Order: sequence, then C-alpha cells, then structure tokens
Amino acid sequence: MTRELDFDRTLEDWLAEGPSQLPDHAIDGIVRQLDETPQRKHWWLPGRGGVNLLVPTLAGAAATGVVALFALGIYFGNPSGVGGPPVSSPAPIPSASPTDQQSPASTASPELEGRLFESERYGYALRLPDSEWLVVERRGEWGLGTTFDQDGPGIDSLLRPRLADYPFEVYLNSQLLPEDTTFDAWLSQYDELQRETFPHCVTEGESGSAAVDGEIARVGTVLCDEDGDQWFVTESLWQHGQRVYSLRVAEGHDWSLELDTAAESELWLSRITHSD
Amino acid sequence: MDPDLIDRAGRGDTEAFTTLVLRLGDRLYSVAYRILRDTGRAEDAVQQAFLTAWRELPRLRDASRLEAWLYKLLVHACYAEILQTRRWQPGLRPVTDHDPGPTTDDAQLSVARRDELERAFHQVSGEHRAVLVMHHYLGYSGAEIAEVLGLSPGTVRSRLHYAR
Repeated sequence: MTRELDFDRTLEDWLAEGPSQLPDHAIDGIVRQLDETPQRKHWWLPGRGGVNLLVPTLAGAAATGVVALFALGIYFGNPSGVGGPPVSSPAPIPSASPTDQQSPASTASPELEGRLFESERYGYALRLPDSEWLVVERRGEWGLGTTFDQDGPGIDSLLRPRLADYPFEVYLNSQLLPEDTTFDAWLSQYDELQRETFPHCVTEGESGSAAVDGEIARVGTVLCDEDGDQWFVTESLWQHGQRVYSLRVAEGHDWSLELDTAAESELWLSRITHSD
Repeated sequence: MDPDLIDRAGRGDTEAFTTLVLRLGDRLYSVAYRILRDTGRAEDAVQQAFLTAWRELPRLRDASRLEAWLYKLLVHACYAEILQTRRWQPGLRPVTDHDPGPTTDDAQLSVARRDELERAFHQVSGEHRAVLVMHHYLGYSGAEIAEVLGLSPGTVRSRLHYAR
C-alpha cells in the first residue's frame, strides 16, 4: 500500500511538471480557422448563423466549394413578399417598403423581368421573388443512401441575406435515381433512413401532394423536438426524368411551431420548372 | 460555463467561441501535453479538438456537458497524434526551462525516477495514458473518466491498473 502511495505521489509530481498554458500562436491558429470551418448543423435544425457561412464573396465562395451564385431581379411584390397565390396563414414576412405593394411590371427592371435561376447540374429553373435573393450552389453530390444534409454536398440554398426577418430556411437538392429503382422504392428507403437518423422528428399529419411543373410531389411535414426546441420542416419529394428532387422549407431559428412551412413550400414549388 | 456563451458559439458566433478557447484552452493543453509529452503535438491536438468542437457544437445536446465533451474530443485527438507518430522516445528527458535540474542525491534519484516514468509512459498506449492523466492529474474518479470517455467503469479500472 505504501509502495502504491509512493508511486502515485511520484506519478502525480511528474505529471504536475510541464507547461500548462496554451501558447498564443496556438490560440491564434484556432481562431484563424474558425471562419474557414463550417459548423455542421443538424439538417433538421434551423440554421444557426447559417447566413454568414453562405453569403458570398467570390473568395469565400471558392473557399467553401460553391459552384455559382445567382442574384436575380425578379420581384413579385404581393403583400407576403413572395409570388403566387395568397397564403391563408399570416404572412411570415413583415410589411416591407411601399414599393413592395406594386405589381412586378411596374417595379422590375425590364432587363431583369422573366429571368430565372437555372440549375445546369440539376436541370431545373427557379423564379426568385426579387433581386435580394441568392441561390448558393454547393459543390459535390448528394450520395445515394445518404440523408439530406443542409450542410452536405450538392445543396442549393436559397437565401435572402439582407432580409434577416425572412423566417424560413429553404434548401433544394437532387440525385439520380438508379435505373433499377422506382421512385416509390426510393421513397420507402429514404423514409426509413430519415426515421433512423432523426428519431426526434416525427411526421405531422397526413402527407399531401403538390404539383411541380407537371410532376406530383409528395409533401410531408415533420415536427422536430430537440432539447425543448421545436420546429416544423416540410419536405417535398418528386421525380422528373431520372432525377429525384427534394425541397426543404424549415422554420428559422427564432420561430417555433408558428409558421406554415407547408404553405411556403407550395409557393416555392409553384416557381420551379424543369429545364428539359 | 455560461450557457448563453455556448449557445452563441453554437450559432456561429466566433467571438463567443474564442472566449471559450481562452477559458478552456490552458486546461486542455495541460492535459494534452501530459498525454503526449510533446508541446508541438499537444498544441496540434488542442487545435484539432477545438475545431471539431466548433464544427459540431450546434449538435451538442446539453451545454452543461461542454467541458466533458471537449475532453473527449481532446483525448481522441491525442490518440490520433500518437498513431500518427510512433517513434522511439530518447531515454533522456530534455531539460526545459521549468526544470531546475538535480542538485542533490535525492534530486538525482528523482531525475532517474522521472526518466523511468517517461520511458514507461511512452510504452503505454494512448488509451491508458489518457486514463492515467485524467485520474492522477485532473483528479477524476473512475466513474467520471468513464462518463467523459464513454467507457464502462470496468474498462477504466482495468486501464488504470494496467497502466500503473
């Protein structure tokens, strides 16, 4: 016993020796890399600080592997701030400037009217509501058999960076459907993967459907509950040609079960056309 | 640890995270050095642990577990450092600025004893070193070490016994 105590004392004395202050250059090295290291947000989790990670400078875009950025000058100007039929739920976007109430024809610059964001890699086009919107295309591919990760490869993120109070987060991704797999089979596998990976997100109500440029999307909303934080996410899934598409609309971080993500999804779906 | 600070860091606030680095960095570095016995590699391990923490912080379920989680990340970073560089450690421990050196017979014995510990320590795996450091340097109990490292208490006990 005494021998053990002697050993412990010696060991502890020995361990007590040595540096105990992290050098300044090491601290600087950590801090310097923070901006270059994206935080891995849970894909169901409302983005936290996501805008500052995705809002571009060209140098920043290159650093994060962003393929392309588009800012388009389409503005639809209905009271909700997005085009399409009026929504039944309270407009999520607060009242904007008086010009927001005017028709697109009177406010849009002639050379910008009718211009769309076009995704060459995924074969779709998206009519963006106004010139404030950006689409950030992340490099890489959404791998078969993997979950939809809003921080993952291949994501198209829709951002309105100067309108901090747009309360939704909107993402789109696409992958090729294997030739020997039907869309229903793909859906079945995908649903199972989602359930396994995100047990804290449960389906809310019955799934519905929505038209996407002649295709029918399955639209489902989940309620996620993590550490007392709750939020809705609506996902729309459809097939066009040999591709499957997923559009995600989630409540932003400052909102909790207050927003109609399904209605917002329908508005975005109505703006999508397929390129072929 | 200030939950608001952790929350802000989890939302991408680099200043908040830098504050965490300043508050916790010394302690993590101390542990890393004592596992790795090399200042440069300890710095690398700490850096790796913090950057992993930054990346994964939004997923941390319980802000109160931040420190324990950081230790876990650090220990794994140390394991990676050890695996990267398996080399024979020289028998003589380098004299550093904080080492006054031997002046008496007792001190010489102490130096010999320390050298013996140094050699023995380097022959022990990273997993065993981590447990030794957490117990004898940080003062963690077996149960606390088990919780931080995600091990069973039995595994911690056997690693401590083997390492000693």
